[in-house]
Amino acid sequence: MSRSLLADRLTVLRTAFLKELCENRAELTNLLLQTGQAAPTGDAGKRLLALTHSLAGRAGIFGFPNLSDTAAGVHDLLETNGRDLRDAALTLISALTLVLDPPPRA
Amino acid sequence: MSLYRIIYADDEADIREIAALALEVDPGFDVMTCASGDAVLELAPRWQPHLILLDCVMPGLDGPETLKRLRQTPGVAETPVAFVTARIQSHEVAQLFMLGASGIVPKPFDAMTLAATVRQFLPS
Repeated sequence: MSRSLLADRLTVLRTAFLKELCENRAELTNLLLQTGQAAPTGDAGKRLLALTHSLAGRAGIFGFPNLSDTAAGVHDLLETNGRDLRDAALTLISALTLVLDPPPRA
Repeated sequence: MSLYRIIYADDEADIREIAALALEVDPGFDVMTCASGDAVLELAPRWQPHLILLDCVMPGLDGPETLKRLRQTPGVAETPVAFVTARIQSHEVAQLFMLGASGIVPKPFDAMTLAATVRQFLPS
């Protein structure tokens, strides 16, 4: 395996990862719409933990280190029950939006 | 050149693929991947790897539990094991070394330098 072939394959997988991020954002947005102002609980909490763990480990590999860092921080706080799920979901949606719809450079 | 057999275990399919490709940038590495700790315990005694890389957090058997069971498995009880983990707080790293880890690969890793990082965990 050459480095150029590795780079090519990384590009393909990165595209698939970005598509997955769109789905993650839609899922989180739907979750918040369903729960209204109440904090998501139960299965939603488990799903958020799994999602933040996955993003923390993977986003940086695809070139999104800030998303990895944010997801890792949210995951740690969720794990220690130090953050409510609604706040966690909003933080994650913001981080995903910065990757998917980056603000124009000044 | 010596060919080192390496097992990489991770429950995320895309990361397994990237890791295998990244490791095989080194022509001295032959890599097989596993999606779970159970799969590692099944493959390792047959394939006799020189190094096993374990994702710390996996459904079912996690990385540390997989290491404990490897240590009780004839033929691979002394095979070096390194963890791939996003948990890099110092006390957690210390726990992994106390379990017998040969090294830690921080996650996310850099695919372009992963092979060089892993080389240092191999027996000379």
